[in-house]
Amino acid sequence: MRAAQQGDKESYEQLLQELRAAIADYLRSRLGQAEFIEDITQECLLSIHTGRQSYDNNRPFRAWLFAIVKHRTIDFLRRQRGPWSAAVVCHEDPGSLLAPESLDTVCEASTLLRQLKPKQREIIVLMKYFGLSAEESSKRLGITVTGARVRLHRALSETRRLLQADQLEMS
Amino acid sequence: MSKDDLIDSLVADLTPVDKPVRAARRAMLWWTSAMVVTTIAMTFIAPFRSGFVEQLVTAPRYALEIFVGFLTAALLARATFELAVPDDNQQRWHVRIAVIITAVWLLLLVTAYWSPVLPPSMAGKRPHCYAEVMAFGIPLTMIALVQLRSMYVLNPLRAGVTAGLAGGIVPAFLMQLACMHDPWHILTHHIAPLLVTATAGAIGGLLLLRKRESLTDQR
Repeated sequence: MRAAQQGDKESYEQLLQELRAAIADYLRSRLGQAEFIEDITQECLLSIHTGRQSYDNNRPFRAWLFAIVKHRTIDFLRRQRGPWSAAVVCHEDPGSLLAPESLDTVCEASTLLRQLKPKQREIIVLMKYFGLSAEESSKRLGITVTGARVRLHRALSETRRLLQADQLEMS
Repeated sequence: MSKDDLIDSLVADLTPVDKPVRAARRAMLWWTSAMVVTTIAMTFIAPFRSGFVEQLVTAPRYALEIFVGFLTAALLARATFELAVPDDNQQRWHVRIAVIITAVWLLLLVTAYWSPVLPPSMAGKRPHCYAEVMAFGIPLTMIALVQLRSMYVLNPLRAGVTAGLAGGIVPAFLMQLACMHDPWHILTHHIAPLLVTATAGAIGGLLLLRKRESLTDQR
């Protein structure tokens, strides 16, 4: 990063390539095999680029990097709604596709989702992984639309808290 | 945009960074300038309360209150600039310390309402001290926000509120030396305007510090 700050393009390209893989691995381990991992990874790389001046060489690079990754992740989840590839099928028949095993498969791969309460996990998977709307999710869960939105808000807040408390481990 | 296209375009866009950001240095620079400029400007409006130096020497509780206020102002400035460098652990640590010291300072001021540190007096009363706190605090807040803009703020609202408190606390603290000493007056005329500067900071933070860099925003 120090070399990149000095304008060394070769080092910078190598750094970005390595970071891309590391960030994607980190996100996959926390969020499972979701299609949006690549989008979040790209947004993280963009943030690293625009914020590279804010890196202080006297501080650990990892802390700086993961602060950006965690922030961009929660920002992305809060902002985005599918459709992802799974959601395309969902929209054809929202009721039938989301069998309990579909949810389990997503949750199993995600250490972060496993730490959420079941209701929070369910709403995040429905709205952020499968791309259902608040209306569709509320019908499926048997709650009001407002209830679904409130539950999603709480789930995302808890996700933010978990991400911030997450110990930084990078392969 | 494909993965490789993005990396290629970022590499092509790479320019050397002039000076990597040092939060502590920027905080120190802003805070010292803010204290000096505000002191000079306040002196021009009206002189500081006569005898405050003697009170500092003779009343240890007053000296403690001033010392903690000084520390609070410095630590809030530090926390503000720390919020513009992505590093959760450092941010958490600095914000916690600033919150604790601010709470101690406020506790001292509230305690003084029941048990005054100095005999309440109208000596040195400034006619528009509350307006002075806002008139100095808000520009200081905006200057801090402009400084933060060149750094990398991840949470504009939190940084804005902290900047508002840091900006407002400079004149509020100096009023402890410059204006009349009465606990109720201090709380209502010197401390309460911090709510205004914090609100201004929050609004300014949302307006000035929000970044539009998302790929999806650009599509």
